[in-house]
Formats: sequence, structure tokens, C-alpha cells
Amino acid sequence: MELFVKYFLSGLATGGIYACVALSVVMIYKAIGHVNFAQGEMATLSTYFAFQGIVWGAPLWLAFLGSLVLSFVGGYLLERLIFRRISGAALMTHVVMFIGLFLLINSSMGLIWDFSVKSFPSPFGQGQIGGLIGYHQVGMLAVTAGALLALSIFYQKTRIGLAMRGIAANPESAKLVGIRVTHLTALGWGISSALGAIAGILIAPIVFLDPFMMLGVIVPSFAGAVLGGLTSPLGAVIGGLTIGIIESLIGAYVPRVGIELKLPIAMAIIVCVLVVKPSGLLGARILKRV
Amino acid sequence: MGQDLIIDDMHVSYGDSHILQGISMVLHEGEVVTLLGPNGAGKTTTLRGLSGLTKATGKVTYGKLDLLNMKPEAILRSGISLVPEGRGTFASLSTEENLQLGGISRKADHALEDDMKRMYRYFPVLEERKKQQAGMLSGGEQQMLAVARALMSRPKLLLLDEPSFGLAPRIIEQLFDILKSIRETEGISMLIVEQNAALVMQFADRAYVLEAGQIVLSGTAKEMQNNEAILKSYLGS
Ligand SMILES: Nc1ncnc2c1ncn2[C@@H]1O[C@H](COP(=O)(O)OP(=O)(O)OP(=O)(O)O)[C@@H](O)[C@H]1O
Ligand SMILES: [Mg+2]
Repeated sequence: MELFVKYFLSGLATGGIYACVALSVVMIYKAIGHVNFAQGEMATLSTYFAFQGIVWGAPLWLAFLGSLVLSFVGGYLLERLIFRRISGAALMTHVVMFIGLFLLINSSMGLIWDFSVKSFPSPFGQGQIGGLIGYHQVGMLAVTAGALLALSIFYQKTRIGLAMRGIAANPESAKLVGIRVTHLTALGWGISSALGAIAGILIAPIVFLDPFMMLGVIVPSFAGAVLGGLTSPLGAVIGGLTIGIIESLIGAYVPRVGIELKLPIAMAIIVCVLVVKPSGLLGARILKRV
Repeated sequence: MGQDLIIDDMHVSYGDSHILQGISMVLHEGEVVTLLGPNGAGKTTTLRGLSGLTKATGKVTYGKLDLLNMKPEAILRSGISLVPEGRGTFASLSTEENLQLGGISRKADHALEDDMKRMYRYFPVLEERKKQQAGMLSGGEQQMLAVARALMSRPKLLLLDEPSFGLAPRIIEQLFDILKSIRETEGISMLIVEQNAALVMQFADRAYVLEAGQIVLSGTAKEMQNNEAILKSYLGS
């Protein structure tokens, strides 16, 4: 039982990271109808921003905050300067753009910071609570929960949040009620990038920082997003947490190969959901009368 | 003069097809004008051009503003609001949120809250459905929601695209009664696209008939009702 609780909690903590990344994928998917393959690389780049701040001697909190702000602005500009111009273009155009972005960010990071693996500090320190869960994992859980809660309040309670939900629900009517759709779409990209930055900064102390850091995170996060239905923010969070827990428990209970099974399991979940129930747990089940 | 809408030689093309071929219309402040015409004539295209959703050329002025160079959000803020074809419901959001979105271009203050209550007085059924997902409302309720949503921006000119489409006669009557009382109490001008000509002619001051992208007839509602040709083709009698 203690083993179960231990791995459940650690799965929940990792799941929180997946939830953040899954949510950042879903936010962009809802805005433009495409899955941003470069989401993980963007998050890694955000983590390097924080890393650079620390190298320059900034206190941790300032480095993290700086990374969040830069990521937000970067995401905003990415939409305004690049993705706005291809909005409405074919699927292939977007795929090529995302792959290009992926490669560009990845190799730029290699060029600037080289490809060596770097350790990254945890703001929560080292240590365990009752041998069950590490300080860092508790911190991860708290921060991701806080971020998701703040975001949900933003969407449900503020006028800008309402306007953003309006755009997702009916883009043309959103224009008709006077919403500046282009501005808010860019804002969505900014928020999504900042969310990725949180995920990157929180996972880096565990997996260490290198340009491929997010590869192991992005696949389970995609699985979480797909499981949740790709169009549902709540679904993405539930999906991400679920994948994290499943993965952790399998790692614990399946002898020897458990850890190796993480990625195949995530892939298998993606395939199963897409084949059996493409709308996932909560996706696009808008009830509509005709 | 004041806030007249003056459409002078407006054109719209989709690719190679020249849909609106230079239409001219006038809508004086306070007037209710209807735009009639068969399927595919270009009525929806006209309203989309006026609200900035579709690129149009020519000259359209509203008061001193040159509408064809403005974005939809700017046109809305100048006082023109469209009740679109198909109702444009924010289907996954609640009825109340649909109304809040209607007023999103305005400052959040008491006047906004009062307007919300006023909409519930015009359309009591919307208050009953306030927390329900708007996509689940009946066709008539969604049409009322579309009108109320458009009114939440406090327009001076309301554009309506076939508000009676797909509704039961009793509901249509109810809707037009409400439109009449809105006109009387708020003094809003209206441009109403309709196929149900007999119905809208009882309400409109003047009418235009659009056919294959051109205005083929215009006149006061009285003149039109006495015109044999129109009676045959549009009033269905
Ligand atoms: N986005 C578009 N691309 C190409 N052609 C279009 C587009 N929208 C409308 N059309 C064409 O323009 C013409 C006019 O369409 P419009 O919707 O304005 O007609 P309407 O008078 O509103 O008809 P209805 O009574 O059926 O609503 C039609 O022939 C239609 O096929
Ligand atoms: Mg039409």
C-alpha cells in the first residue's frame, strides 16, 4: 500500500507537468485547429532562458519570472509575426511550419548552449516527506495546481477569458460582438507558452536540461491532450494527470521493463483513443440542436 | 442626414464570381427597411459586407464613417450590429454568457447590467434559460438570443438576416412583435433581410428587391404591396 501511495503521488506530480503541456497544446489547437508539434521545444527554450538568468547570477525567482515573461512575449510575437500570416492555410502548411519551428529552436539551443546535459536547480530543495514524496514533487504539484486554478479562474471569471471562450465557441460571432479576435489569439499563444515554461522549469531538475529535454514529456502530454479530447481544457488536465499516474504505476509494478514502457504506453493510448473514441473523454461534445 | 446609411455602388466578388454587382441603397436614421429577394440573390452577402465580415468595394457611409475600410469590431463600435444568418449562437456557452458577450465591447458598469435585465424583459424565456448551454435552446429561443445579443452592444442600426427562418408561425409573430416594441422604445433603425415578405412588409417603411446581385425594385412598403409583379414573385399571393 505504501508503495502504491508513493508511486501514485509521484505519478500525480509528473502528471501535473503533462497537464500543463497538454493544456498549452489544447489552447493553441482550439485557436487555430492544429497541434503545435514544437510546443515541447518552446518549453525547453523557456527553460534555457531561466538557465541563462541563473548563469548570470539572478536569484532563482527572478530567473523564473523573467523566463515566464519572455515566453509570454515570445508566444505572442510568434503568433503575430508568423502564424497569423498562415492562418486558414492547409494542414500541410502548418505541419511544415511546426517542424521548421521545432528544428530551428532545437538547433539554436544547441548552438547557443551546446548539447551537453546541464543540471538545473530546484527551488524547493532536496529532501523527502515521510519517504513518500520529495520536496520538489510537492512543489511541482503545488505550482501546477496553482497555475491551472489561476487559469481556470481567468477563463471563467474575467471578461477577457469570456471573450477567449467566445472566440473558441464561434469565431465569426466573436468578431460580430466586437472582440478583437487577432489580438486575443496572440494572447492565447502567449499564455500557452508561459504554461510551457512552467512545465519546463519544473521538470528540468528531474530530467536535467538539454535541447531534447522535452521529448520524453511531449509524447505523454500529447497522449493526455488526446485522451482529454484535444478541445477541452479540463479534459487536457484530467488526461495529463491520468497518463502521469498510469505511467508511474506501471513503472513500479511491471518488473524490469516498466520504465522502458513509458513512451510505448503513451503512444498506445494515443492510438487507442483516436481509433475507439476520437473525441476523447471531454472533447467537442457540444450538444447542438438542428 | 445624421446617422444615415448610404450604400453607393457596392460590389462583392468571391474569386471569379461577381456576386454583388453594384448595389445602391439608403437607410435613413430611424427607418425600418427590408431587403427582399430569392435564394442566392446576395442578401446575406450584402449584410456581411456592411458588417465587415466580407470584403466589399464601392462606397458605404454611415454618418461620417466610411464603413468599407473598417474592421468588424470597429463597425460594431460605430453602432451597427448584425443578427447573422443561422443565428451565430455561441453554442457551448450559456445563454447568459452569450448575452454578456453581446455587451463585451462596452464598459462593464451598471448600464450594462440594466441592459441585461431589459433583454430579459423583452425575452422572458431567455431568463428562464439563463444557465443553460445556448446550443441546447430551441430554434426560436436561439433567434431571440441572437437579437438580444446584438442589442446588448446598444446599436443604433440593427441588421437582421432572415430572422424568421425555420421558425413556427406563432414564434415568428412573437418575434416580430418584440422587434416592433424594440423599435418603438429604443428608436433603432433596422435593415431586415427576409424571404417572408408578407410578414416583414407589415412592419417595414420601405423595401428593396435584390435579384442576382442587383437591386431591381424599390419603394415604400405601401407602393410595393400594391404592385402586382412584386405581389406575385415575393409576397406569394
Ligand atoms: N463564401 C462564398 N464563396 C463563394 N460563393 C459564395 C460564398 N458565399 C456566398 N456565395 C454565393 O454568393 C451568392 C449569394 O449568396 P448569399 O448567401 O448572399 O445569398 P442570399 O440572398 O443570402 O441567399 P439565401 O436566401 O439562400 O440566404 C450565392 O450564389 C452563393 O452561392
Ligand atoms: Mg442568406
